[in-house]
Amino acid sequence: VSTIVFLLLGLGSGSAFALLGLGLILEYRSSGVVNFAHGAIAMYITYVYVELRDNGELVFPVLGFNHINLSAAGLGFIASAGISLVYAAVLGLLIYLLVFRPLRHWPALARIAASVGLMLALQAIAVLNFGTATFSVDPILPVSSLQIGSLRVPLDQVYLAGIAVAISGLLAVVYRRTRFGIATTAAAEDEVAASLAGLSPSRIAALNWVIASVLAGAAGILIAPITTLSPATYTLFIVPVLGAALLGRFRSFTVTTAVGLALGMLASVLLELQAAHTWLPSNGTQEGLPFLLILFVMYVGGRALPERGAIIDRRLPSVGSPARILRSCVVSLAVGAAAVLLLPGGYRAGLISSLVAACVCMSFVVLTGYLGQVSLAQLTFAGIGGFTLGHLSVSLGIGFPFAPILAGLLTVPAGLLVGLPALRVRGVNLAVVTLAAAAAVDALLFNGGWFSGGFSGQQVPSPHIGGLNLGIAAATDTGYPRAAFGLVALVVLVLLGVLVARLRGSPAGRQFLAVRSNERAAASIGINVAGAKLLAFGMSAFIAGVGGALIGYQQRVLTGDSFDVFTSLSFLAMAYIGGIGRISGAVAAGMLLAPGGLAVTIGDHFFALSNYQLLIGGVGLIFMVIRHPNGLVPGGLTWAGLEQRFRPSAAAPAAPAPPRVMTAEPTRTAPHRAEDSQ
Amino acid sequence: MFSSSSVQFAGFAVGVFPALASYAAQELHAKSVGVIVPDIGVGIHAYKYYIQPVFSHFGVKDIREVLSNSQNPDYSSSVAAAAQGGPNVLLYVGNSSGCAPVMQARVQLGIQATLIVPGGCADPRLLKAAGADANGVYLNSDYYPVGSGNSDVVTFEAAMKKYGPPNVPMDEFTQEGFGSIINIQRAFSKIGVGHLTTASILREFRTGGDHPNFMTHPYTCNGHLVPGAPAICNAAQRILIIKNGKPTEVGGWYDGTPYIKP
Repeated sequence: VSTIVFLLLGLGSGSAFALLGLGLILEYRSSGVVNFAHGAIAMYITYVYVELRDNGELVFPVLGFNHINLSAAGLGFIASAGISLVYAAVLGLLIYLLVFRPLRHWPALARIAASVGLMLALQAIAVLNFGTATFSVDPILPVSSLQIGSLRVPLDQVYLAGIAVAISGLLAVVYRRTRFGIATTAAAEDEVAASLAGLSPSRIAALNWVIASVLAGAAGILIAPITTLSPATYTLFIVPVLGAALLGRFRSFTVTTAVGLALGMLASVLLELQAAHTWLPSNGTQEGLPFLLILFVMYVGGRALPERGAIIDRRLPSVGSPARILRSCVVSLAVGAAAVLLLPGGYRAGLISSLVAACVCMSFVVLTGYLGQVSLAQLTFAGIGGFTLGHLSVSLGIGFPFAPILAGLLTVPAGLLVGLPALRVRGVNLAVVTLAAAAAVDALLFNGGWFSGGFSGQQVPSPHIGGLNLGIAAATDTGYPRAAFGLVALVVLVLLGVLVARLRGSPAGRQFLAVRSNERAAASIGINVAGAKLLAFGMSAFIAGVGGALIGYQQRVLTGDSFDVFTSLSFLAMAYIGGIGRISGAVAAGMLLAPGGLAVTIGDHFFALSNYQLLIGGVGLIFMVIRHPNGLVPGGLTWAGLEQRFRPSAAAPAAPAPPRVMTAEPTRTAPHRAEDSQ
Repeated sequence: MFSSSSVQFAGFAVGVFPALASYAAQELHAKSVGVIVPDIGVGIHAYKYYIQPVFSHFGVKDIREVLSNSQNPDYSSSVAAAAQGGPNVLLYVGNSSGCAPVMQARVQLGIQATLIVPGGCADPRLLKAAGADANGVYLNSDYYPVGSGNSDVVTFEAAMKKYGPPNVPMDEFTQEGFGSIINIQRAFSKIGVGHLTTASILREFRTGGDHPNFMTHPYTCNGHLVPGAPAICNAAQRILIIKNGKPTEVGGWYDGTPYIKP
């Protein structure tokens, strides 16, 4: 009896996963977007609903013109929900037309980056409009309960599950039986054939986005009374929702609904068992469950997972070709050291944050820039490096510089483990796996006590060489931050840059580009694609791990909050804006976009921009993806570029043209299938 | 709170849970307890070091720990799991996002156990959302609550009304900021302008004990008040109960930190 009660109690969470999963499927089927912002759309529409219901205000996502008062006393449920869903429809249409339609022929990375940008922007707008406080929402469904044994089961959860099943059934019928549904399937299978048959894939996608956004809004409003509303909560649901959608192969409404409900029910029964049997592992298992599910699906059916048959006529962002590495190092060290030594306290702290963030961004250059693999777990690797550094330093007494190097090396197995699914899947599916892995590590390791140091966090002692303190602070030194640590961060960044530059020019680097350009073609000329992928994952994990070690030295006490999975998404956004295929792009990302970094510190000092940083980052990411996919640094910061720009008379050194097969500059090519281009 | 070169005038996380556990054991006669803990390191640590030892000290052995997951939208399973075995006290250890759902789930599930929640749940918006389900719930406050009539609090209320920006929540965190500034100002006045150094400031706070602490229990910065948290100078808590949707003082200060694990 008790287990039945817990199964029923899990219907509330399960319904939330199912309802959100349905919209996610529509977005993917119609436009190939795994929309990480889906939970954020649900969150935003729910805020709109709450404001209408409580205060009668219609809130707009436009700062400065953000609301109209419709009724001082608040509106009733039907009016509030109706207006909110119309709002959702308009929002969905605008999101498609302004963000994803321009990207419809772009590869998966661009769409993932744009969806991350959208998520950040919606979260930022919600924070600016509604604050970070938690809202609770009045019940919508009848509040009654069913007595089973000693417990009563709230029936609203059962009703909610019924609604999820009904919507799922309705969608299944509509998409199987109606002309619109069949047209959607046709466009998802083959856009070219659909176009030749007289269908408009864009129009079909737009309509699907409207439906998906309305579904997201409806899901948010319906689940709000059983959960709580804050800018962060709904976004967190994306991992289990992705698990459900993935098991439904981003195609089946009924399977997705069933898996969503099952996930909620399973988690609930797990709670019962863990409470009753204390020997069962408990910490992180509920959050780890979706990851295990996703991993299982990827391993068992990875190759069978559908890729949309979209037309891809653009390629991944351009890749730099580092030249004159020694000269770049000398100049970078000289300019960087001068800045570290000359900048006053607050700006120096910003510069240090920028240098540290640039190290983590450098890991994207190898994996995403050179190899074209999308990873949403880079900050997780950094976290592993950071916490490992703490343990190496405190428990084993290993000092600088061996400890951070060892921490980076010990992060490599984690990179290889997360990279294993990349041997079977790519593009959006790989993004989902890495996100789930990051969430699982977050739950199992970073918040689990022993590894992350529990309540007080993991102490990281200052680095010393001989008797010289290189730490960011010292008991006998009133200045903070100390320039010595800034110089350490600078040297580490330059060394990582050299490593990446050397890799780019090596046979392995050329193999990475070949794999990125076309995996099948690369394999046909004898390149070990699996080996190249694992090497890139391992190297990027090492770089991120070293970056995490620097974060440890910078913060001195590490907690899991510093490396949570959604911060990882922000780092992808930063790296993409900076220029994900270039070392200078990683540096630009750190300098201009890092939280608490140099540009942010300056912007905050002169323009009080800190409140708008997330919004600027999100909108900036979307803009960059659409307008400047090669990033802020598309090549202007190379010596050749600078010489050409400032010394037009300087004759460019004669150099043999690079082999064309290895370049990956964006070119408009004949349409080809998505999986061959990523 | 873990820094030896800082001082903290209110216990917050370190003070809240030992005090609530102590109150539950001493005043609510807890015999069997269900504890809902967020599945994060902070929550697990708080349970292990600040809750379980206090209950054990008072002879409460039947403690059921249930970890709640941030990716789980619904708290009813967690509340039901914590209520297995029919405890007479339920303790929610989490942030404000779970306050109203936990209060509602307890009533919806028909659980009779007394519910205790952290002071962050006293936010009027959360209490409004919980409605009648909040009544009878116990919680803490690091400070004499706003509206309590305490003379310091009256001064605080008047100052905020006259000088405070609009829409600042009159909660514990605002009280902490205001109270800390007053304490610091008192210390600085004693030291005197021209003698303010890191050492002299720390010495002023650490010398003696039971210094007046604005709006809260007197502080003693000896570095040993709470094991492992040398910055904490006061961990005592007021205990409140929700009546007719509003927090009402039960009376007295409670400090459970003498019973926590080093």
